[in-house]
Amino acid sequence: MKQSCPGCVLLSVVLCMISVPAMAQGNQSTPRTADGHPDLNGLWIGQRAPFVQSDDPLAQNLASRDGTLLNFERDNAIIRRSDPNKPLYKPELWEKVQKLDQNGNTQDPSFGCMPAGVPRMGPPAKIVQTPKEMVFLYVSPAAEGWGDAYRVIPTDGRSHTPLDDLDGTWKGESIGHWEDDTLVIDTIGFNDTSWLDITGYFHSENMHVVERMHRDGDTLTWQATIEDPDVLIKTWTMNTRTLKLNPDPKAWLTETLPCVERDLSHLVTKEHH
Amino acid sequence: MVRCLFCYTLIAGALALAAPCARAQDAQSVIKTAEYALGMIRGPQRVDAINTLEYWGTGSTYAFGQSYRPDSAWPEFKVTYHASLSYAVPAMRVDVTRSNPDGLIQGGGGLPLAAPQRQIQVVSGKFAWNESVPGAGFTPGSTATPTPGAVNDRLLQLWTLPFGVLKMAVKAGLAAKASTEGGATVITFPLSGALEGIAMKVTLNAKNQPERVETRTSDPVLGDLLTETTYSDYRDLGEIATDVQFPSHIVQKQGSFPVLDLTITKADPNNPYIVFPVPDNVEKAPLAPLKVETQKVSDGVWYLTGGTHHSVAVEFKNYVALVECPLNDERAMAVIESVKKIIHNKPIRYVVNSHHHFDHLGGLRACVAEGATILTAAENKPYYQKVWAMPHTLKPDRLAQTPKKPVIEAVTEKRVLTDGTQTLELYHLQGTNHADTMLIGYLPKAKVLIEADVYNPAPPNAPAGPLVKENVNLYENIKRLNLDVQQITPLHGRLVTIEDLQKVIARN
Repeated sequence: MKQSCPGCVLLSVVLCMISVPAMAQGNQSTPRTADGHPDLNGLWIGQRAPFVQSDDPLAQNLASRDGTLLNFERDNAIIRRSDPNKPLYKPELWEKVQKLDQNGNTQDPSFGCMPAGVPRMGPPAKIVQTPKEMVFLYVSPAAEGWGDAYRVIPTDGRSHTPLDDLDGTWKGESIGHWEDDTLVIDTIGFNDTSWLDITGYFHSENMHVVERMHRDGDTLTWQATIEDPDVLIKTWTMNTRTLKLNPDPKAWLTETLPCVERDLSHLVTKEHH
Repeated sequence: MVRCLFCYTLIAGALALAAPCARAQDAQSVIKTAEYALGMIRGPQRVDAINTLEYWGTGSTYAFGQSYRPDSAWPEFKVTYHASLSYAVPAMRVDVTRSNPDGLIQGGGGLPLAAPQRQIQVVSGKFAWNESVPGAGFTPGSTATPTPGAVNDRLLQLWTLPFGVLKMAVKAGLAAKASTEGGATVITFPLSGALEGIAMKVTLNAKNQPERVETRTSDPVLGDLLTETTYSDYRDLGEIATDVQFPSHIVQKQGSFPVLDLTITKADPNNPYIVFPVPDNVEKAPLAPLKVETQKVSDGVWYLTGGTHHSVAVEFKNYVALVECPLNDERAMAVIESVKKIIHNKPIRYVVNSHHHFDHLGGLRACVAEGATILTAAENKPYYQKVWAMPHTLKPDRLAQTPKKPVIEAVTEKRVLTDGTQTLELYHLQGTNHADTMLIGYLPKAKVLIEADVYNPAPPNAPAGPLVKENVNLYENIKRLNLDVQQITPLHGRLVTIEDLQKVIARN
């Protein structure tokens, strides 16, 4: 199993929610760069709280269902799957999705320390914006991938490389452009190894992802739509993610612990972890 | 691990804030306790985490309203059963393979089956359809058949499941009431959305799990129909453990007899990938208009079609005899109006009821309200008197709105209506396993036979089907009664000749 806790993604959301009131008091106007576009520069992970120590007495009284930590993972697995927003696969592939999900411990590439890829890696933790490119920096687990990751996305008006000339990769080839005040990132050229989410959502090499990012004051929204006519019967729009700007000028990106798979052979059930 | 402890500490705090109040035993706390008992409430957020679910089972389904004799149990099908559902949509797909029961097969509903039969019934939001394969309409060569009239029945199945009843109870808010009956906790509440107007009563077992669910819906024959569903032997039936409790045994009764009896062998409440895309042809399907088409078969004889169930109007000197008033008030009224248009100024004095199956009996109450005398098999008379006295308050039909004492005339082996200008002979059909109360009609002047269900002619040029013993039995009755039949007006199918029946029998 990976060196990280399964509930941390969830907790990141909780942290963001806790920090919302403080953020709401900030300046709500949207700053702009010299070229007139919204300024997306910054650390978009809200405020970070300090880690608790292993001897923290609260941890001894974790009120998980029936007081067991096992139930925490079991509950988390069910809750993650309760999202009603599901991609519509072709009927002949429904069973495949279910099988992949049921066997996620062995089939989910991220569970085996592989990259999350686009779009599963979600919005970046930090954005560095220049007139001709955007640099996205990701930190696990908030980015839902394992290991630190980056993307360099040109916004200089270039076109995509012909798909046949691209080697399929986890992150594909991303090209950005501005539509009014929204940054639109168009990505093609994927491998067919990554998943769209934890729930067995596979895709083909012909997947086409369009991400839209929009800043409104100290809030950044991210949304991705996925077209994949090889496996989907219609375009799927992922749930919108909302990020808050960290106002702390001293805030920094923490280093993600290396992902080393070492427990998989010890798992004796299909329970998700 | 350090990070995990941090996570858990935050969760502990969140749990403390979200812990349910245990002071008041009001309806909402009773419902919450039941949700916990089923394992629905999960995680530090204490949310209802059950959205999609699948379960598999074996057992029996029964054809409601299709018994061999009136007042006897509904006929049985052996089934393998697979249901998948989503409460978020809401939607449900029931994939059943039916086969014949053991022993003597008697009754309607499609029995006996020539071969095991797969039925896939789907409801998704305001749409219902039947699929040839799961996901039909999105797979080449597959067929999705709209069944708009089935939406509410299928939604009720979804919301009658243990998780569904508790979700609906939560949704009812302050309208949900808790009480104690016979030592058991009972929750009552009104349903909402498409099922608004239906009340649900849920009795909990000693572990606070739904044990018995009762609803009342309107049925053309039985009126305010009670549906009782019992759930027992709850377990975690998942291949992947979830701690979600699902009943190992489900029994559902309507009209006091079982319509479903399932032993659940597996359940996956781990929110599996289940979707219900609505095919275009289903989404765009117009509601089938209620229409009656009239076809003159002979002097004074009209074949009334246009739907799934037909009627025959026979004109006498001073009155009309109508053979069959099927389905429900709406169909019956349309047929009656049609008769009035083609035969002026003559009352419908008699209505002949072919047999007691609910699809053939459902419109009779409207004919009683019209003032007609009902001619039916003798065994049916006490049954009809009983069921027609039942309350019809949920959806008052014409008879409920203008009550009238039914006049029922029992037919034993033979009854003849004649006035010198027209004759209609009624005979008890012997030897049928479809319904013990089956009558056939014969018009000697026109040489026309009227029958229901025992010969449903296929469309012209349809491939030959398997041997249907009821076809043979009908022909043997025609010979036994020495009826000189030239044409047959089946109450399902199309107008045919006696030669058509002879060909069907001969080729088998």
